[in-house]
Amino acid sequence: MVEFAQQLIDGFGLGSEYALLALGIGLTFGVMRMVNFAHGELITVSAYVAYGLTLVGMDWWVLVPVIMATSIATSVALEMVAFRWVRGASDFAMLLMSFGVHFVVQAGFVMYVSASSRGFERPDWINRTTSVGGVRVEVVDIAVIVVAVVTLLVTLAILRKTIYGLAIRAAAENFDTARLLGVRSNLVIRSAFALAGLLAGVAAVLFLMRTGRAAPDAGLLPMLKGVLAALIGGLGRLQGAVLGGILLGIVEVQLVSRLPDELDGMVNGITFVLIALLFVFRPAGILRTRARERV
Amino acid sequence: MHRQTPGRPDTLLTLEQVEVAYGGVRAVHGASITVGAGEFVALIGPNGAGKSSLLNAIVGLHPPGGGTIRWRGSDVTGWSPQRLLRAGIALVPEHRRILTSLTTEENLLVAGITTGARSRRRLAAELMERFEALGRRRSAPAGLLSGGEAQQLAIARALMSRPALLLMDEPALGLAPSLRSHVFDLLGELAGAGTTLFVVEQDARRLLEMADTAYIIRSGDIVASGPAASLAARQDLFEAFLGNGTSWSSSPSS
Amino acid sequence: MRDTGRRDSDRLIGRFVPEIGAAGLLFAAVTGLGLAYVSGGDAAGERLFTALLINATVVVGMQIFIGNTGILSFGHVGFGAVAGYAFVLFAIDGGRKSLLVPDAPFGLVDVTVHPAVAIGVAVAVSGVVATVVGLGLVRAGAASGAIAPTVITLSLLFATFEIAINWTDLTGGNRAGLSFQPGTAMTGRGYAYGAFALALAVAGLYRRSRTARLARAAREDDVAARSLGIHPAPHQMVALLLSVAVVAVGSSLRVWLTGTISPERFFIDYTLLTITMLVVGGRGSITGAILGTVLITVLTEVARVLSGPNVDPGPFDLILRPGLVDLVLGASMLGFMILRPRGLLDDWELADWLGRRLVRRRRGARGAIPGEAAQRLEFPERPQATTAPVRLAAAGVTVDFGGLRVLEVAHLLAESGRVVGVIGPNGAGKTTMLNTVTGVVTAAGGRFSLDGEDIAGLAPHRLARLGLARTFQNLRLFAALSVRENVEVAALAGARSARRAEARATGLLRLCGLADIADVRARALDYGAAKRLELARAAAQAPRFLLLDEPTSGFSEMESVIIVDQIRRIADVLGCGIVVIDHDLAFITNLCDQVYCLDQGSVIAVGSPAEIRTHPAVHAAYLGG
Repeated sequence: MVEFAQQLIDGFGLGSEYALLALGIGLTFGVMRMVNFAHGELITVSAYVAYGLTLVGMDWWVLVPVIMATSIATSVALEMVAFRWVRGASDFAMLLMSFGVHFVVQAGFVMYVSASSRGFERPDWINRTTSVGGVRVEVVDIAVIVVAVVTLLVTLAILRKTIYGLAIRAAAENFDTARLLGVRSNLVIRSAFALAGLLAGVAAVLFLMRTGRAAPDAGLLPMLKGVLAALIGGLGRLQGAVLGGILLGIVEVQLVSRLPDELDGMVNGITFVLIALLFVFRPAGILRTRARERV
Repeated sequence: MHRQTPGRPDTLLTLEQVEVAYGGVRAVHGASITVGAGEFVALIGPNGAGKSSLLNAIVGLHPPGGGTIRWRGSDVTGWSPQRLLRAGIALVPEHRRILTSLTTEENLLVAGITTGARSRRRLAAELMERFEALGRRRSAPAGLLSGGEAQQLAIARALMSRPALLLMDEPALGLAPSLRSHVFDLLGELAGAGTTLFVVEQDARRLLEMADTAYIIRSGDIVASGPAASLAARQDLFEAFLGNGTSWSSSPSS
Repeated sequence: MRDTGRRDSDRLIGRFVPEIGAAGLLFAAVTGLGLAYVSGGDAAGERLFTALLINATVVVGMQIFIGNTGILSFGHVGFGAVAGYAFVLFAIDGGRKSLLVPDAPFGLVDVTVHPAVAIGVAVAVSGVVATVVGLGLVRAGAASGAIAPTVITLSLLFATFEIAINWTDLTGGNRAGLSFQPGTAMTGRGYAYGAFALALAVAGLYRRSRTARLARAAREDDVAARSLGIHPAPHQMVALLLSVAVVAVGSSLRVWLTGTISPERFFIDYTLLTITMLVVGGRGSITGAILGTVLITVLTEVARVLSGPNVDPGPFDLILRPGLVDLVLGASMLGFMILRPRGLLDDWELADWLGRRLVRRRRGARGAIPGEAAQRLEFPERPQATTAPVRLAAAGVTVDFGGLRVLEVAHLLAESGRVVGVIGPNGAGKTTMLNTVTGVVTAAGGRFSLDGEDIAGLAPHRLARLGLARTFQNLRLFAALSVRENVEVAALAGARSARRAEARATGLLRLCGLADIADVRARALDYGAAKRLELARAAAQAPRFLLLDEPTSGFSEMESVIIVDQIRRIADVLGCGIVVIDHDLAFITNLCDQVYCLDQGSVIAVGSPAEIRTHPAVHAAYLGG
C-alpha cells in the first residue's frame, strides 16, 4: 500500500512534467495544426542556459526566471523564423519542418558548444527526503507536483480568463471564425507559442533539476513523450493533453517497478510499443472525438 | 491616397465590379452594390448564386479576385477581417459558426477583442441583458444552445464590435418557422434602431417586405435591383429563383 | 480475336516497357556517376560509392510506402535495424558469433547460413514486425490522418533503438556494436548493384500495379476513394510490406559491407539522412528519390570533408566544424519545406515521360493504335430490359448533427432506368440525405434497402461495391493523378480484369469528352472538365445507382446543358438509376422522371416535375410563405 502510494506520487510527478509539454504541444497544434517536433529544443536551450549560468555561479533561484524567459523567447522566435513559413501547408510539410528545426538547433549546439553532454550544479536540497504519513518521499517530487499543478492551473486561468487565452481557444476550434471575430492570426499564433514556451520552461526547470545535464539531444525524448501524451489525449484537446501526460507518467513508473530489473533500460521502448498497440484499438486516442466530417 | 466616391456623402459600402473565384469556379462575376448609412439592403437569389461568396469577400475572409470594395469612400479591397471589423463591418456568418467549446459569454468576449477590456465586459453584459436567453445560459457551453439561442448568440456576437454595418448570411437558416419570425422581428428591431443592414436570406418575400433596397443575384450576376417593394411585386421573381426553363427544353441531341 | 491479342500486347508494352526502361536508365546513371568517381581507385571513394548504392536502395524502398500512401514514416530505419540484426545473427560464422553474442537465444549461435539466405531471413523477420506495426498504422491513419502514424513510427524507431541497446544477449549492446568480417569490396559491390537494381524494379512494377494505383487514390482523397469502393487499409499494408522488404535488403547490405552494426547506426541520424534524400528529390517519384539520394550524398560528403580534421578551415572556422553535416541536412529540409515542399521533381516520373514518348512514336508510325476505334464501352452484367427494375429505397430517415435535427423521417425511392431529382432550399438536408444513403453519415434511424436487401449501416466502400456511385458537391478528385488514372482507379476498384477496367476507362473518357486531356493531372483541369471527370469517375464503377450532388453548381446555363446531355448518355449506357440533387428546378424538370422536394429535413412534396412546379408547398419553401 505504502509502496503503491509512493509509486503513484512518482508517476504523478513524472506525468505532470509530460503534461506541461503535452499541453504546449496541444496549444500550438490547436492554432496551427502542426505537431511540433522541435518542442524539445526549448528544453535543450534551457539546459544550456542552466549550464552556462551555473558555470558563472548564478544561483538557482535567479536561474529559474531566466530559463523561463529564454524558453518563451525561443518558442516565439522559432515561430517567427521558421514555422510561420509553413502556416496552412500540408501535414507532411509541417511535420518535416518541425523535424528539420529540431536538427538545425541540435547541430547548432554540436557546432558551437559541444557534442558531448555537460553536467552542471543542481540545487543541494534536491536529494532530501521527508516522510508524509509513513510514506517516504523526495522533496523534489513534492516540488515537481506542486509547481506543475500550479502552472497548469495558471495556464488554465490564462486560457479561461484572458482575452489572449480566449482567442487561442477560439482559433483552436475554428481559425476562420476566430479571424471573423477580429482575432489577428499573428497575435493568436504567437500567444500560443509564448504560452507553450512558458510551459516548456517550467518543465525544463523541473527536468533539469533532476538530471543536471545539458546535451544537444536533451530535449528529444521529453518531446516525444509530450507528443505521445498529446496524441493519447486526442490532439487538440487541451484537457486530453494533460490527462494523457499524467497517464503516461503513471504507466511508466508502474512499468519500472513491475518489470524485472534486467528490462529496466527498456522501459521507454516497452512504453512506446504499448502506446502503438493502444492506437490499434483506440485510433483517435483515449477520449473519443466527435466525428464532424462534412462532405 | 483616399479617393472620395462620387455619390451620396452618407454612402457606407460600395462594391464596384467585384469578382470572386474559388479554385476554378467564378462564384461572382462583377457585382456592383451600394449600401447607404441606415439603409436596409437585401440580397436574394437561389443556392449557389454567389451570395455567401460575396459576403465573405466583403469581410476579407476570401479576398475578391477583381474589382474594388470601398468603405466610407476609401479603398479597403484586400484588407484582413480584423482590420475591416475595426473599421466597422461585422458579419453574422452562414450556419452561425458558434464556437462550441467556449461558453456563451466567452463567445461574446472573444468577439470584443478589438475593443478594450472594460468596454468589452460592459458590452457583453448589455447584450446578455438584451438577449435574455443568452443571459440565462451565459456559462453554458455554446454547443448546448438551441438553434434559436445560437442564432441570437451569433447576432449578439457580431454586435460586440459595435459595427456601423452588419452583414447577415441567412440568419433564419435551419430554424423552425416560429423562430424564423423571431429572427425577422429582430432584424426589424435592429433596422428601427438605425443599424445599417445588408442581409442575405432564403425567405425572399418576408425580407423584401422589410428591406429598403434589394438586389437579386443569379449564377454570379446581379440580375435585378431597385426598391424592395417594387421587386417584390414583380411577377418574374419566382422564375428568377427557379430558372425559367427555356434553356433546357432542347438539349443537343447526339 | 487477333485484335484483342494485339491490344493486350500493346497494353503490356505500354505498361512495362517504360518502367523497365526508366529503371535501366536510373541504374545506369547512378552506377555511371559512381564508377566515374571511383576510377581514381582510393578506398574512401569505393566506400562512398557502395554507400550511395545502398542508400539509394533504402530510399527507393521508403518511397514505395511514403510516396504511394502519403503517410510519413519515421520508422523505416527501425525496420532496417530489425533486418540488420536478423541478418548479422544468421550470416556471421559460429566461431565469431560465440565470441560476440555467446548467450544469443533460440540456439542462434549454432546457425550460420549463406549471406544471400540471411538477407532472405532479414526480409522475413522485418516483414513480420512490419505486419504487426502496420495494422496499428493503417487504423490510426484512418482515424486521424497523417499525424498519428508519423508519431507512432517515430516512437517505434525509439523503441527499436532502446531494445537493441538493452537486449545485449542478442545485439551485443551499443558500446561495441557487433563487428565481423565484412563482405569484400568486389562481392559486396556485386550485391549492392543487385539490391539497387531490385529496388528499382520492385518500385517501378509496383507503381503500375492495381494495388498501388488504389493506394495513391486513397492518398489523394480518403473519402472519395472509399466512395469508389476502395478500402485503403489492405493497399497501404501491401505498400508497407514491399517497402520494408526493400529497406531490409538495403539494411542487411549496409551491415554486411561495413562489417559492423550498432543501434546508433540505425537511429535518428540515418532517419534524417534518408528522409531528407527522399523529400528533397520528391517523395512522389522514384526518379525523385534517386535524384535526392545523389544530391544529398554529394552535399553531405562535401560537408563532411570540409568540416573534417584534414581541412584547414581558415577564415571559415565558424562554419567548418563538426556538426556541419547535420546542419546541412536539417537546413535542406527546412529550405525545401518552405520553398518547394513537394521536392525538386514533385511527382514527375521518368517512366511516365518515356511512356508518353513511346506512345507518340507508335501513334506516329501507325496513325492510330489499332482497335482503338472499334473499342466499345465494356460494362459487366449490363441489366437486361426484361429483368425487373432494381430499387434503392430509404424510409424514415432521421439524422442529428450535435442536437440539430437535419433529416426527419425523410424517404426516397429510386429505380433503375429512371432519374429521380431532389430539390429544396439551402439547408433542407439534400446533401445529408445523399451522404446517409452512401454511408458517409450515420443515420439515427431509418431503413435502407438495395434490390430488396438491407443495406443499413454498411461502410461507404461496401455500399460502393454493391453498386452505389456518387459525386460530391465540392469536387473531390484525386488531384495528383492524371485524368485517365482518376477514371481507371474507379474502374479497377470493383473489377476482376484490369484489361477490361482500363478499356472501360478509355471508353468513358471518350464519352465524356476527356480523351484529349487524358494525361493531364486532375489538379490542372478547369472547373467544367473537373466536373465532367467526376461524373466519368463515378460512372466507371459501373454502378446500379448514380447519386449526383449538384452536378451544375458553379456552371453557366450553357455548361449545364452539356452536363445534362452527358448524364443522359451515361444513364443510357449504364442502364442504372440516377438520383440527382439540385436547387435549380428548371434543370431538374428537364432531367427527371420524378422529383422530391425537401424542406427542413422532411419531404414536403413528391411528384412529376410538372406537379412539383406548381405545388404551393414548394413555392413556399423557396420564397417564404
